[in-house]
Amino acid sequence: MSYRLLLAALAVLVVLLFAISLLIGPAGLDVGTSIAGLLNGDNEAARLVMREIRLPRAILGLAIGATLGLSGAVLQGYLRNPLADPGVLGISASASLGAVIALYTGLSGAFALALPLMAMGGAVAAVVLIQLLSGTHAGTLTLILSGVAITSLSGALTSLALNLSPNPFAAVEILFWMLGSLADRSMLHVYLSLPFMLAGWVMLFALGRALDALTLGADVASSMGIRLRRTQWLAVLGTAASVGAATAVAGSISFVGLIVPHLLRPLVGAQPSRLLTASALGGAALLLASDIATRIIAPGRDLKLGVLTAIVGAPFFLWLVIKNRRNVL
Amino acid sequence: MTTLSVDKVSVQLGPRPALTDVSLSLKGGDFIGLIGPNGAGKSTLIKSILGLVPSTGTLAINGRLLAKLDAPERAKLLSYVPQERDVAWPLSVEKVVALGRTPYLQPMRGLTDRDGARVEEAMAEADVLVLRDRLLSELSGGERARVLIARALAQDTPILLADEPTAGLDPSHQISLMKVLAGLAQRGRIVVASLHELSLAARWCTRLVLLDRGRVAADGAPQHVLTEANIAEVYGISAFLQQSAKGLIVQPLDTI
Repeated sequence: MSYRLLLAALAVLVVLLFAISLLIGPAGLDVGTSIAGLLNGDNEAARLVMREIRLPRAILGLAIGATLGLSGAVLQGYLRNPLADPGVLGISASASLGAVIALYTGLSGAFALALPLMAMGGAVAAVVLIQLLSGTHAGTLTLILSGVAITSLSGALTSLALNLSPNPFAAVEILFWMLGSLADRSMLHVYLSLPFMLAGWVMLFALGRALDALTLGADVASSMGIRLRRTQWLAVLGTAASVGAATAVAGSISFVGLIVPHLLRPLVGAQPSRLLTASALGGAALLLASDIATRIIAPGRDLKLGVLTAIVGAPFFLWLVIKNRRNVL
Repeated sequence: MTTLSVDKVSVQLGPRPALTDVSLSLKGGDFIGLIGPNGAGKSTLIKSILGLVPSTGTLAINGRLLAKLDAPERAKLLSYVPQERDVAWPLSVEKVVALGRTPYLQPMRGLTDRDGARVEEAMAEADVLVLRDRLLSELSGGERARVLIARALAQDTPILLADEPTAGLDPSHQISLMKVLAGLAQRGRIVVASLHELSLAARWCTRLVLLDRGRVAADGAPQHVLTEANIAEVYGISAFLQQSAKGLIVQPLDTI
């Protein structure tokens, strides 16, 4: 399949799933009412459902999916490791921690945007820590180890918050938030997170050529004029902005950023730069599809998106490990 | 004609000096063999010329200081063939060679016709045209080595630096590789290669630089550098030397 055909097919898929996402929900609106509700406001209830509930959910599904797919592709390319995912730098974990602190302290109850803002603060803290830990001329190994350290620390502090939670309801709230979901998000969440995701995408898309060059190793890339420090900064900041914002509004959603680059890599001739756009579209499609599935499989039960992606993703990951092991033998 | 001058270059790696006051003056047409025992500083010298390790001293190409050039400018003067022949992803040979055009690409644009033509020339020069659609990961060591040289050639630089390009290759692949490198020098490039096979170095290189613990122990024509005394002192071995019609034959015999 040619590259352009692949991108076109993925784009059509994303548009289709976006439309389906808009048409499905507990309100049970028929297609005509849904479209009318989206376009004009004659039917007040339909207008509210479409513009305030389904539209933000679909937009966030698309943007967060694209973020996870794109950042996964970038990090696998940058670290030259097929097992890297958007969580590898510790940014998702620290953003989660920020959100958990907002829930724990009750700030999120007092001020609706406290949760996403604190989560983004967590992402920023992770970037500062990464730079402190990995120093001025960091290799990729140091970066991975910093990520492990930050993830562990954030996990421990999250556990501490659960441990010391003021009441069982707070603990349940924290747990449920961490499962990852797109339900009940408003346009405010879109306005808050989308600019950061877009900024992150710009930084990550700028890395295509550097990632191609890094296929042959850091020394050869450097000898071809690639500035390694700049590359690392863009990868870290781009991931922090986009994944930080994504985690801030949806919680942590695993496996999408790991799986999508893998599925698409053989279809783009394994070239890291070509994988970026394909993976962004693929991530958007997968997350939209998963979010639709949560509404179809268990309507009214609020099946969490992150739970579904993990249930589907973990067996895939296992298959990947087994396949890689066969390749080595 | 291209000139590369290395003046009193020193490199400190950790507590020990890896290179001390190395000075060399190279010109187009030179095929320099860097020889010396493991740890003598061959790879470090190549990396310091490329700017991959911090060094003191002066490096200049055609009179221009390398330290004053930015990374893309430097990439148009120096290309590098690493000792490792691994690639992270299963790319085709043609795509790997095309990576050599990286310093010339305009932002947001793909390969131009000129880039494409240069990639074809590079593949022809390194004799890898027949491999173009194969995956690099599926090739033998000798084929991979030639592809990586084609990649460096596509970079279109007057100076090519290769770190142990013949390591791990069978004699036939070693010879074909040395022929490719010697041909590049004959066409006016400066080619620098670190080598362990002394007979190969003597046969194909126009000049040898013998390094010993980070210093230049000898520098000149192969027959002047590869003497029993030099080999004994630097490698600590005795060797059988014989001048043949095809060049000097060096057969290491025993440790001293």
